[in-house]
Amino acid sequence: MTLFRALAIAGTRLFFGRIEVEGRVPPDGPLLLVSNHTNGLVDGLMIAAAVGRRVSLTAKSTLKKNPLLALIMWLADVVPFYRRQDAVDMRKNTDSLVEIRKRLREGGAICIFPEGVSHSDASMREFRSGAARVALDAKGLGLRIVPVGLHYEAKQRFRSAALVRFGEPLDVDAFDRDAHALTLELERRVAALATQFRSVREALWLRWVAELLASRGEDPRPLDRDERAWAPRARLLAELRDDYEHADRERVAAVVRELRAYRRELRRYGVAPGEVYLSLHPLQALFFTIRELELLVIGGVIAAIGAVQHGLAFLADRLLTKKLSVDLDHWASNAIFYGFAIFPLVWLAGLAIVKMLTNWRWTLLYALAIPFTLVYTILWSDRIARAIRRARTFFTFVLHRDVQRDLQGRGRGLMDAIESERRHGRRTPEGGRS
Amino acid sequence: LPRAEAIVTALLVVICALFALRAPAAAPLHFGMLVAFAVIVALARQRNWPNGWRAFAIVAVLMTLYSTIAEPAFVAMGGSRDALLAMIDRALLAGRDPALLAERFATTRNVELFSVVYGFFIPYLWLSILLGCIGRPDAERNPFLLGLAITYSIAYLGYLFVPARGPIEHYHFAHALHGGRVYAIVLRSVAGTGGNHGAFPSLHVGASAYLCLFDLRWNPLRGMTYVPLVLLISVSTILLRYHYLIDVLCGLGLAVAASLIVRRAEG
Repeated sequence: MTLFRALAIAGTRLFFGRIEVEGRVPPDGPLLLVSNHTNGLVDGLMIAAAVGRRVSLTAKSTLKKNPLLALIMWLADVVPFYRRQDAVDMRKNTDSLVEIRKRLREGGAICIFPEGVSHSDASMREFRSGAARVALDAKGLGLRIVPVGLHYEAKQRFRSAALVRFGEPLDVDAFDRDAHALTLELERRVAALATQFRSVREALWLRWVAELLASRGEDPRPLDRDERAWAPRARLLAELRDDYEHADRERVAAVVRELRAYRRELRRYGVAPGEVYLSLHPLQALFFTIRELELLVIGGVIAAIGAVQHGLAFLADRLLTKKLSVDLDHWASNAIFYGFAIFPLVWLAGLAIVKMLTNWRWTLLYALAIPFTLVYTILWSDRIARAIRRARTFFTFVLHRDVQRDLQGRGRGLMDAIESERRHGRRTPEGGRS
Repeated sequence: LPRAEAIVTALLVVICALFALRAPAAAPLHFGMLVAFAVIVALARQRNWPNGWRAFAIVAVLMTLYSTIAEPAFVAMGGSRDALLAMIDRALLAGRDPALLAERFATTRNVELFSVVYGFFIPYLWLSILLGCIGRPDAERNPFLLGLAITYSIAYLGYLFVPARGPIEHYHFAHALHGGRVYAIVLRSVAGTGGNHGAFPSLHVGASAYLCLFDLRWNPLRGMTYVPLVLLISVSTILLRYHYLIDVLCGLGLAVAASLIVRRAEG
């Protein structure tokens, strides 16, 4: 495992609460990975971490202006691309293409984002032909292209979920030397893996629908078994988007209005959609209290040590990320990449202080505890936050039982209406579109 | 669950057979326990009682045996095997005794601190059993009980066939241990469960490590919470002179083996 891959795994696993990977990539031989691009430099890290082999990333040349990114690009063995809009010498792209060809000939794997830019649009941007031309240039080498779809639950949110979907590999030798046709084919395949929406608004309410249906109107699982699987939700979202294509828009609009009102009501009471059906049974509440109080008290000791060791680094990373992030698709990138510098600096400072105040034994113990307390503190904070939210929901419902009954009734009504619209749309050959 | 029941039944049969042959005074009690357990298990199966009852029977037998097999084991085996364990310890540390090496760290403050750690095993064990047997679905409860039955049963075989009282009685230490209130509570608790016995292997280490490994799989945050405790318990058993180094190592090995067996049994 390369140092970069280790950093990619550490960075993505610590930032995202859950990362799921679907599909596999060929373990050897020349390989080109083409992916959608919605989360800045994190997209490259996600792919490098998910692929079980060394992957060379490609990136715009201007990133090298930042010394920290230049160091990471060097570690990642990045091949730079020189873009017209960056006002750089584009003739250097010839060297980049030679380098890519060399790496592919050596059986390496290259990752390209054919959209050319990271964005927060509801759907993919038009693919540029660079990836197809690189692939066709390597014809005869046995090159395979794997389309990749990257999904994020909320790409800028710390501890949210992410999904990496690898599609079926394409054999480049089976294609004619038509870069335009291959570009369209790649775009089609990546689009099939990365759910596309017409607008951000559409994406938002379809996510609400997926969240509502995922609750299934059942008592939420205990927090220690709450897997929060994102892949099924992402699949459901894709199904909903397809169903919406065939739905009667006017009828759906009425359901969406009701859904908005329902969400407003949930926000008013501070209740998550999945917790509307929370059981108020005293025995379940007792077990919840035992389980979470145990973690709060005993785990709190370790988390307190973690807060001392990493608190300053978290704070500095957050402040710097907030200051430097101009848009959503660079928030996670900034948090992770600045974290690579901030955390080790804070750790070194901590070790120096401990060494000054104590002896080498305590310093060694402090150093050994760093990775454990880092992971623990993140998991603990995440869990305690969810426990507090669930406890708050429980007390809200205990104090206002009629509110829970009302929300449950409206939630079930919405689920029935949504399922009915989906069935109606599927039954109508031309769709129910009016 | 049937596998956990079978393991406990097999353990009781071995105990009854050994005591019937070598320590007859203790045989009736254990024979009665075997019969009672068999009856409860049969009734639970026949009448389809909730699994919680069967879990309760298994845990009750395992916890009761800790005290009841203590002294009869020394009678059955004709004395203690402390000398053998001390010899293995010396071999492990190239001629030096871990228990005597640990003596210089046994300050009053350390003794008290590690008594807290040592004593914490009891709430950890019972809370884990409570959460493991009642607060889980069958798919998790059954492997939990199977692993617990394996850990305790193998440890009890060690208690039976390699009976030992631990370094606290085997060595002549330069100074007796001095602690505070918590150490006094630990001493009273040990005396209350039959005195110094059951050194090999360390169930403090074996059981806590098994519970931790189980949680690391099913409930990782809880598992991680207790990793430091398991490590500290391992140190405390040596510092407080209850176990030899080989007891601790075998306890850890036992926990790992039980976890692997459970994983394999689950397929």
